[in-house]
Amino acid sequence: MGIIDMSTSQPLLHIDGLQKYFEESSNVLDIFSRKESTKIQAVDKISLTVEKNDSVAIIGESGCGKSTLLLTLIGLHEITGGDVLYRGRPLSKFDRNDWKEYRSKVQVIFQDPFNSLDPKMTVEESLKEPLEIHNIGDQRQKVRSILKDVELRPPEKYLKRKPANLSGGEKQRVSIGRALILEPDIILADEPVSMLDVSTQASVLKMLKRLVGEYDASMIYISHDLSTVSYIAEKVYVMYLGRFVESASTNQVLENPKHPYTKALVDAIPVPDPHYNRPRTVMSGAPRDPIDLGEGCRFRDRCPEVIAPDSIDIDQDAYREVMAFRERLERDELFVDRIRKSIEPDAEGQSLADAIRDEYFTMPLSGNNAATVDAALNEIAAGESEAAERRLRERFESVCEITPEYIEDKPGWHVACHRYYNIDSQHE
Amino acid sequence: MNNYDSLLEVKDLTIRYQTDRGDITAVSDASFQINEGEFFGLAGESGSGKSTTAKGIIGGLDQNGFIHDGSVRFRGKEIQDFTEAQLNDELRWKEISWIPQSSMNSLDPLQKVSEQAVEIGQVHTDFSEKELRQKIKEMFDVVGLSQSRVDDYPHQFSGGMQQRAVIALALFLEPSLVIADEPTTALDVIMQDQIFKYLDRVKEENSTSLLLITHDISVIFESCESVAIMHASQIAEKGSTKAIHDNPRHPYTFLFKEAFPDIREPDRDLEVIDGYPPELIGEVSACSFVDRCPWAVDECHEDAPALEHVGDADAGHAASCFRSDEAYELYKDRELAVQTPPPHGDH
Amino acid sequence: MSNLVPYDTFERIQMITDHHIFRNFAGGLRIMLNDRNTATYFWILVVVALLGLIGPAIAPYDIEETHYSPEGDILSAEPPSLAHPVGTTFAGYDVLSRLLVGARPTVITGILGGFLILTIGTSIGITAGYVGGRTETILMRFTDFAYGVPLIPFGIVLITFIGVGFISSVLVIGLILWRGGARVIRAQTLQVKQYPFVQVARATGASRTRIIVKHILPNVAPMAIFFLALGVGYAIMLQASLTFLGVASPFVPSWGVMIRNAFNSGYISEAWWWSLTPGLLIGVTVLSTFMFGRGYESLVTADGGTGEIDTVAA
Repeated sequence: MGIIDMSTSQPLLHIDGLQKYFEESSNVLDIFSRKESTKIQAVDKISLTVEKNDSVAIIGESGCGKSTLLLTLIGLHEITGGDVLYRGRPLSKFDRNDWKEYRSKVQVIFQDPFNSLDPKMTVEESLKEPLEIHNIGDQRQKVRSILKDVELRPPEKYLKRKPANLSGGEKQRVSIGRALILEPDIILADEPVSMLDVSTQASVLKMLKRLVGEYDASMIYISHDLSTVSYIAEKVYVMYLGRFVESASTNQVLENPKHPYTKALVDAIPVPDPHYNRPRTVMSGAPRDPIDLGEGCRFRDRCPEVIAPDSIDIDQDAYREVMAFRERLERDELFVDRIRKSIEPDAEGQSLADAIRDEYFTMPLSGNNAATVDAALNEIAAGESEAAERRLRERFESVCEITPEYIEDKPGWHVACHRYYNIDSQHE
Repeated sequence: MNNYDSLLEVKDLTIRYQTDRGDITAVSDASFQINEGEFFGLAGESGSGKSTTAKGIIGGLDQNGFIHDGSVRFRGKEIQDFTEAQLNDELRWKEISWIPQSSMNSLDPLQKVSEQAVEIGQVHTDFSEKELRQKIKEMFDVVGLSQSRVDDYPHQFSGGMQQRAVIALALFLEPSLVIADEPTTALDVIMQDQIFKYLDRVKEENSTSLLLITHDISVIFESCESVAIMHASQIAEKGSTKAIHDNPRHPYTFLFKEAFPDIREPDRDLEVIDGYPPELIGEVSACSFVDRCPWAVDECHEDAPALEHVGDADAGHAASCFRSDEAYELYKDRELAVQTPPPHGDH
Repeated sequence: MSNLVPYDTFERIQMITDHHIFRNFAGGLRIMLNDRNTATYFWILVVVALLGLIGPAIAPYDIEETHYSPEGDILSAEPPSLAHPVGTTFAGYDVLSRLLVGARPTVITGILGGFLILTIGTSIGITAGYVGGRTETILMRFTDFAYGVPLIPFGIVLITFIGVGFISSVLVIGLILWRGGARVIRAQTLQVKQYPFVQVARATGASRTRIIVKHILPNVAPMAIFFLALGVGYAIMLQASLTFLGVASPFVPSWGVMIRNAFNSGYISEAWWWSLTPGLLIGVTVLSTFMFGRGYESLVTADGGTGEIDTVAA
């Protein structure tokens, strides 16, 4: 007696400001120093709507939270904030019957062919399992039929085999078959082909696309690979550190990406042509840890287009260094004591300031920029961190330190970046 | 006086594995060469023998693997029969180094990276600890890791950084040749690009050569000057990446190439190659691609085609196919004639 | 339309033998017998088990029959001879007969003790590993407590409470030694729990019981068998120790009792045929269980384990 009304005309799946945070359990020392337990903001206010027969892709690097998102959607993680609505009914209010219903209608395919099938079960047993769980009859017939659908023919050849006797591609086909055998509404696919040879990916992807169409299902396809997305999804959502930064149709994203991260992603895709001189990425470093992220655009520490204040004139890379330094200062992560010890035990004043500069700055600064930084370094060396913070913030504060809104820049095209909407409206 | 015009020369190399089913041939009559400062790609599906070739060069074959025939010359000197001691003394880490697939497993979790570097350096060279520390720090710089992190433990690095640390370890003794086995397969495109940026830099500064083993032809086309494409132990085609891209002669080459997406043409239908690379026992006396090739003829079953020069502008461009003069044209005609490729007929 | 075709007897039998528990067991056995080392130990154990079964039946003499020399003296602590291939004890009993009969209690101890250890250890391990949370904490603290208990002293204490007896000694063994298995099985369960196929089962709506029985159990089984083997070995050893200390029943003529009697008589160093032989037999048996267990575990996990990290072709 659940609450899901199957006849409603609500969207199939509506993810509404979903949040999934993890708390890193504090250890004994932290309790004593009264440090607040660190929050890992794996999924932070994600919104997405899937209608019948939609195929959308969520693209992001590893660590961006897409896998956590997936696990939350299938109920393996508890929702921290926001909600997910299946046919209008919120997951947070599901009872046992709702979950049973949902779990027969929403199926998942994982990326690792080696561990997605129970090594102790035959193909037939693995495929039968969903049917057994939901008490669906005609099992022998359905198993054979699905094996044919996933192009493992003749089915008899595969029924009694165990995963160890299947190739990677064959294993993934079985996993896909298992996801389809319950004729679900929605398929959640987590990089289903990324561990296969690229030359095999095409055939498995084509098959997946065809079957999703034939079975009249919708698909959310999660991956880090933009180059194969056009074969599988009409719309792309780009995810970075727990948030969507851009979403648009696949063609729009590939041809004309707006968000600097999307641009970097698209620009880094290898082009199979030795004559084409694709410049290497200008990006450096890696995404920060999704711990205690605070306010502001999460890409700003790596963004090639981070917005410096209009009033100053500064090189992009140098500006990013200043920003990184300011952040460390504000989080009290400059380790001044360690630096002091590494030169001489009672270093102070100019020599300490210079040592701190050497540690954190590699790009040259000039004019008032240099002067401000020097003054701040001296203040830090003298122990006046707050004054230094104020000084630096006054000159170098960026609009990117305010969380950009995820805004519909054009119909069907969302971007979360200060470069894309009226900057005036941001200044208080 | 050593007279050599290539850094690494592999000639007629045949590598087999002893199993209860017989001797499985993993590499059959492979020949290619890599010059100084050249990035050379070895491409193919898994099971093609590309990893085995690399392991054979560096003496890293599994227990049951053996070099049946052929030679490997490094700077003109034959090395395929080197003992472990010789390999360690003369080649490993300081002349030829190896970047394995899963970086995580090659870093000792109990040692700081700097300690590992020093240990490796002291085994293979005569440098002092101080010198070795300096070298690894410099290499960290090159791969974009902060020098102060040299004294960190592997678990303190994120996945991508671990891979870069492994690369730094492979490069810090400035070897002439680096063999990298799918170094970026598990990484995101941005990280992959960063790593190749650093590899480019190393090539520029030290004329380091690279033997890049991967199934990803796009990466090879972008980053390598030359390529050899392998199918089930045989080299199907080899030559400069430009020649192979512009004028592929072996059916496997162009079918393989067409299976990869090109971001400039997102709607192009991707090629699918039927079947799997076969497992070959004993002598290989046919073309290993014959059961998957749409243009196979009787001759292909009877003999293993030899690598023959294709005759275009690239003197090193060779293909092993009896129909190499016409296969590509037949393919192009077929593509033009129909909207979608016809289902592959019985072969 | 449900499948209403009735199965005939043959199909029914096939369905049972096809069931994956049998299949895995048979498969495991086959692999194991292919490896010469492991197979050797397996056969040694089979021989010991056989002795346990038929020992008393083939013993040439009664174990408490005193033997006399032609002159009428008790054949006390006589070295091996034709009549008594392994000599006699101080009391004139035939050592060979005692060895053969002594196999049975040893084997029973091993099997009973082993199974006790297996069931307790596995249940606790899997429950702790899969259910997690407070249950896990409680169960694991309990296990830690069991670890802290020193084996033999505790055995002595427990026996003074439940009384000296053969079964009680087996109980003692079982109640302490499950701890190793519990820890390892829990660790394995945690690992298996993370695998995508378990996540898929959960995402498809499988009940907890179903997952534990159908997915976790078969996958931790190799390790469990390993601990079973180990458990059997430890049980036998522990029993021998307890017997030697006089804590277990001296009336059941196990090999341990023989050593004890030899010790008590003072002839332990002189009558080596009496003291050494049971010791050797215990040693060989226990060694075989350990080696078999190790071999089984490494062989069975090598097959079907996660292999290449490489990408794979179609």
